[in-house]
Amino acid sequence: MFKRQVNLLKIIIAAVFFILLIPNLEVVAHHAITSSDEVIGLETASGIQNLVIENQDHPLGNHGIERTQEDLGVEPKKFTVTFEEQAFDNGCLSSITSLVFELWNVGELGGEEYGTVIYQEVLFTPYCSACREDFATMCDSISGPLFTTDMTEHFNFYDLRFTGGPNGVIYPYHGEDWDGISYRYKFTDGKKVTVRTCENIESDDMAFTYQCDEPVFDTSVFYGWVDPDYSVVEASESEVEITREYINTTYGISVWDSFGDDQYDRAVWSDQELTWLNDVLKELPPELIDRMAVNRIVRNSVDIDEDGNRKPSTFGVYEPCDISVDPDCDGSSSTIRIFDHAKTPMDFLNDPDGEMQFKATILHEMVHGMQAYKDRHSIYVNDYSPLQENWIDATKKITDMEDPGFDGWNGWNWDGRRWRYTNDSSNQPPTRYGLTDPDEDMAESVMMYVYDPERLKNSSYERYYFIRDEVFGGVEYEDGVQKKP
Amino acid sequence: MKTASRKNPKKPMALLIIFSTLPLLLACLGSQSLGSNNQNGRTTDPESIEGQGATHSFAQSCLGGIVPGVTTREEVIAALGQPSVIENEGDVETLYYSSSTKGIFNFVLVENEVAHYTSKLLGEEDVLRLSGIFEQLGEPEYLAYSHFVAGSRTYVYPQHGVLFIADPNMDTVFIQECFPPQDLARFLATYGQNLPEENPYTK
Repeated sequence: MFKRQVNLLKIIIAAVFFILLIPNLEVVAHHAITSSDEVIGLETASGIQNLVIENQDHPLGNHGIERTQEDLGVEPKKFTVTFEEQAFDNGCLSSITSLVFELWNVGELGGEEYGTVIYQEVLFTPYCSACREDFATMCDSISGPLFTTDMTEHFNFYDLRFTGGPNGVIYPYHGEDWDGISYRYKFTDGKKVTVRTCENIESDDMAFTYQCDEPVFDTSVFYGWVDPDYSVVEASESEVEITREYINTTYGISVWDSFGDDQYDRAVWSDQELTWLNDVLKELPPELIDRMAVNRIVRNSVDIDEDGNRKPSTFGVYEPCDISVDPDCDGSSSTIRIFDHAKTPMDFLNDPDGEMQFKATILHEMVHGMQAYKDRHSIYVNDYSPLQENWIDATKKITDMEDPGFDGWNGWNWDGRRWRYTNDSSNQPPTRYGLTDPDEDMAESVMMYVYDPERLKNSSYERYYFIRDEVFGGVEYEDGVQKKP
Repeated sequence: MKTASRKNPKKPMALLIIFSTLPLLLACLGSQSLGSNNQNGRTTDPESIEGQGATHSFAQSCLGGIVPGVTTREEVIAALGQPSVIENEGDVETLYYSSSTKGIFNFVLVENEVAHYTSKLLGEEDVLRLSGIFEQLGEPEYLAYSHFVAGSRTYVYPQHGVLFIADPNMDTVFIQECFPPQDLARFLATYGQNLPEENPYTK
């Protein structure tokens, strides 16, 4: 009981801090999108031609987004969700947290984002008569709501992302410094979500643990929602149809059939392949997907090189900058193409229909997206990412920087014509193709980490542990499925 | 590596408190144009390069300002220091130097005490655009694939004594190599004999 009181006191102290530090709090009504936003030419009818949103304050930066309807592929639409949490009604103090999300599915083909949390109202209502003596003084000094405030400005700490579409997922990013906090909510347009009271049973300065007596009242609103334990709240198989839209709204990745490039033969994602794609994505930690520069996954029949030659033995390709989609590519238009050949069994035993090869190819190409990822709007061009540099270090034969051999032929080296890999037989890439270069080595190793971890361990424990710790945050796999703790 | 703490809640309430105290916590708490040269230790008068027919600006930006066919081994060491690795194959000595990126070597080929080939990795702050090269030198005389990274190609200008490994989609040059200007047949018989004609990235 005392501990609960202490926790409650912490919350009240935090609230007082809030009041003291933000002196210009006002009770505000629901805002328009924001005072600095300018929405031009928006219509919800099919006659929409252009949509321009200028948002000088948006955390994505001071840039406008201009897209034609053709670019969008979906009708621009405002998307509103309210969130209300009722918590801390312990007979002494009650609180209601209310958020209103306004988002626009104006991103590229609806797959990218524009969104902001525009309003938050928080009410703390003390019931002084029920308070224990510890809080009597504070209760005596306050009557009515402790505070009600607009938190819009402060939610700009979030780099909010909305995947678009009527069932879009809201990714309220936090900055890199906010290690340890990750939220992902999936709401339905217009839905009001109420979360049942939870009890704060333990807290320290930056971490809280809640214990809920009852589940949230309607779990369906959280389908696709991922909690900090990485466990995905899922509907049963019979409830969810894996479609392009589902993939897009759940993972923020557009799924296209042979897109717009006449060089490519037409191919269409089958229902089976979409299920396989979902199987890959649902097993990846959301934080990992967030660190992959992958805007779209396209199903093509066969690879065709820059000279127009068909390359039927290519499984898939990753294009960090897809000029067929965005001729003036700014480095954030990334495409994975999966070819028919991806279903040809090659890397795995007991894979007669190529299911595992297909899934592994998708994962392989997604790893290239992770290697390219610099931040949400840019990719590494000339240099390797820090992750890749660490990979090169982790796969060295000599790891002691003081050793004279450290800077010599040691692990991966580019000799001016090709990559050389120098190491013991017990520390090798898991596949022959992995010997192509460090990028392919990592892509193949991650592929094996998920789909054949024993093979990866056999070829290189160093690779296995690096991927486990530095890529997957400790999550391990068995037959492509996360191991349960 | 960012990981989610299992101790953290999934409720905005916690965030509210965090945000409410954040102000306090916070209170507590070119591109390189063509021909430019950011390498030190250039050892040879650029006028002598023009005399060899090389394009002045590209020759200036070869590794360490080295002029292939002119700069001596001694001058290479004076400019770049002792190499990380030295390899000998017949009469050719290869001096490998660590670049700005782990695992990637710049190198100088030396024969008869004279440097005749250089390779330099261009870093993030050492940007060279492929389109800029096309503007200045036109289409390459020879185009090959590259083992450097998926999607990269090798653009060879033998008459100018330069080749570039670049990604055409990204319009970005990764590596610049310099050699004495020569005709294509001679280049393909020597330096270019192992350039890949097929895309080595097939997965």
